[in-house]
Amino acid sequence: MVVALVGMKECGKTTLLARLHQLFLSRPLAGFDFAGCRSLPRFEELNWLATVESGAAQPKMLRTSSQFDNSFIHIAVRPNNGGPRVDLLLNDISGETFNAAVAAQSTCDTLLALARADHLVTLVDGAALADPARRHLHVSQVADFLQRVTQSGQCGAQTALHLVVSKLDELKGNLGPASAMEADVAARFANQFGSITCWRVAARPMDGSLPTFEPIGKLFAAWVQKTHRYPRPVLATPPRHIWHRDFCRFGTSEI
Amino acid sequence: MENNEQRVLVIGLPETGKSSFIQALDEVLKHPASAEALCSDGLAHDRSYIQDGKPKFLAGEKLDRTDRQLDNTSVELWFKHPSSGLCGRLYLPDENGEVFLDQWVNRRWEDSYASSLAGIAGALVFIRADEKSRNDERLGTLAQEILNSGAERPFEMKEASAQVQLVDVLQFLAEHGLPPKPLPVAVLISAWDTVGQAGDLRPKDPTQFLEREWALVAQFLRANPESFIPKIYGVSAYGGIPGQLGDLAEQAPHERALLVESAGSSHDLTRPLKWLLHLD
Repeated sequence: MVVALVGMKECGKTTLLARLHQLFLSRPLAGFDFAGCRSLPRFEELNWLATVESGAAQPKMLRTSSQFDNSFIHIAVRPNNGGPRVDLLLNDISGETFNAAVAAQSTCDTLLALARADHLVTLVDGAALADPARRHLHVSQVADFLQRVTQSGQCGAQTALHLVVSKLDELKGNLGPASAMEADVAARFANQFGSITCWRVAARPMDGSLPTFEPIGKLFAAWVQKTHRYPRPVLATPPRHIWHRDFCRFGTSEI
Repeated sequence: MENNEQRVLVIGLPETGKSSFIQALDEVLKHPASAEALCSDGLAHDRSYIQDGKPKFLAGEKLDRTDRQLDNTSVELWFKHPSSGLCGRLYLPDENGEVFLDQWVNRRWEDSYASSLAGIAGALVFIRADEKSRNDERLGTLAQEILNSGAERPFEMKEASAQVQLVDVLQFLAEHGLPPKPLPVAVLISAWDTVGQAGDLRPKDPTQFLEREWALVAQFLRANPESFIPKIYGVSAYGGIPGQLGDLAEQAPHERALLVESAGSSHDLTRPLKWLLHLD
């Protein structure tokens, strides 16, 4: 599964990824066991400044660099009822690139993961929604980004859109702006994605008043369990006796 | 003696109790806890490595850390399984924990080491009951507090959470080594004597302990049944804190050694090996 996370600068994309790792360190998440990860050093690095051991005066996250716009973080899970292992590739697109992609199709075209993404996770900063001076820009940028990726064909019926209001604690109970934005996006893009699901999470609430485990778990489970790309193509493995050359085993013996 | 050689991989980050366990195992083999326990079948020709640590271990003192410059840290123990009559030689390379730390930090290992994994019978994986499995995440009130440490440090690989490092070592083993699959893995939670003291709310069953305290390791082993068959034990090689044994020091080392599993507890530290070697 390929999951692309996008949103304005400091909207909480990296925090969400970092918390996913932290949650698995404490227990299985939403019925899934951690089964492996080729990005363990990166996950630990993402979390470092939010740990006591780092000595940071206040917990913080590394800023996502545009250098990694086409990079992936890997994690594999297995349902703890014994189902098959699922590998996820998580693509964290920087806030700067998000804005640049809204501004120019040429920049959007460079985001290679979007065209392969099973899930497009668009985060909207709850703190920005709570602030009238910032709210309209954030809502507008999100809508324009979705317009951009659908009109270019990078995302569409094959993509599950997840609209995530992050930093829910910063809304301080005033959910009106979040509801309005969710309704607007759902109405405008109703037939342009395979599905649209709205989520509200507080990945690292400062006051500890909101649950994190369950909302993040449900979001994560949706990434693992749902796709609009399948049925997955099944490649038949050619019999060993016709492996004339190494690449023949990948089903390309007719070349 | 039959030519029955069994190699067991000993895995653990620095100071997780590997050397102490091997010393205690040597004592328990010489003084079997029951008629079913593995017992010694004589002394290997070269016991120089294990002999070096004997004075401190028998005195109940903490062992020196395994010297990574040593060329030969292999331990050979001759064993006999009374009920089947099987005799054999057990090879337990007591690798310095830094070797596994280096593997995590540098993302590489020696080819010779990788190829040596092909014939292992199983692995003993060591973690400590009195060690933190992960770095402390700042959430809630911890997040609100402004620390005046004034010394923010950049991330270094060696400071990653212990259970993350251990999972990575096991991943390396499964993906890049060629061990038999599925590989029996006995997880030994050392310093088990620290569990269950007054006010300690941690589970007293080793399997549940791993599930709660080292959750990533527990999940990883469970989620990879094609690579690993895990069994979890609590172990105290000294029976208490080395250097502070008090009255326990009156007892012989094989009498104060402790092994705990879901089925109960005993002094028989050979049980994990019997399980690895399918002699249960």
